[in-house]
Amino acid sequence: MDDHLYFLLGDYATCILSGAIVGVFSAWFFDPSWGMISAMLVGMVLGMIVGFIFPGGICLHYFGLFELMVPLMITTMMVGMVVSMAASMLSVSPGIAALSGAVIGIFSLRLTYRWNNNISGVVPGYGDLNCD
Amino acid sequence: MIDIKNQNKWDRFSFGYDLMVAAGAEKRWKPAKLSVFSAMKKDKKILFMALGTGLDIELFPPNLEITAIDISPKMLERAKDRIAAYEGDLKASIMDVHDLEFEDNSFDQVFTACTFCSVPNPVNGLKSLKRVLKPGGELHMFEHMGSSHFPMNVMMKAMSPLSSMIGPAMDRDTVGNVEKSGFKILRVENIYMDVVRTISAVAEK
Repeated sequence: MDDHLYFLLGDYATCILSGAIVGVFSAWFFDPSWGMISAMLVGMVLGMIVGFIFPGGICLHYFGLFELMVPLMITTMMVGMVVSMAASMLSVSPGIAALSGAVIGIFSLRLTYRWNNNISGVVPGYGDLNCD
Repeated sequence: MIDIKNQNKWDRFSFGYDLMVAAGAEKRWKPAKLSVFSAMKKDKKILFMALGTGLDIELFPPNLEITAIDISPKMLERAKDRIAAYEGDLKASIMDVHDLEFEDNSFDQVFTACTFCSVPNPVNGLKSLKRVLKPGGELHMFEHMGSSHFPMNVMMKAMSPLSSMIGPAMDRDTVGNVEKSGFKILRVENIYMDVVRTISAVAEK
């Protein structure tokens, strides 16, 4: 497998898996006894911690550091926030939580790809002068 | 004088360093690093700062004379086989960038790779590199640093106190530090967002 495809699949697998895991965790951890705002804030933080331990800890080793860390941060934060908030208002099934997390994972990854494309390359203001 | 606290930190980290970066990050950064190291020239005196476990050595062009330093004896111990395998003259020694043992104006080129995220006083470290560079000498860096974009900037700042206890800081303003230390920046390129960048600069004296 060429490197581009390897990293592309790794990026998607990491974001989908981390989104799904954080989604299921958030749906299990929070219930309607939580206030919506507190569930949202605690969910964001817990989501990031859970996502970075697994699958983050393993995937960062195989697929890259910052290229994964950034979409992983956004995925786990958003999934933690959204699913916790939903779980504080109504009962969320593990299947729906996993699916929502996976979809948010894909969305977050696409967002960072687009963001990266917009700012990659030579930084304006720092020219393109060669040393030679 | 060696910063013992920093040395101990990297000695401890040497055990898991390859495990952490060799399979994913190094492979992913290989094209950008190859491009940076392609500036190494045969007729130049080259200093490579923070050789670590020597993961970058296979990306160096062959047949060069390179002086490398690292603060961690355990990192260099792990780099031994890679140093021996280099097809050129690569000498590595234990040294702290804040206290380089080289004469002023000793080198034509200095290269760094993921180094200034970890130097305790980056501006002083860069000034030290400027001292050993000849006037007009080149600084080529491949570095990760803090982001200026929300929410990455907030997240990286939040993670930095923890990450710097066990390894690198995540929120360094390396481009700003290069400028503050008196180099003239020629080129900055974003490799991944504004978090992983290459910097080319010259020592103006």
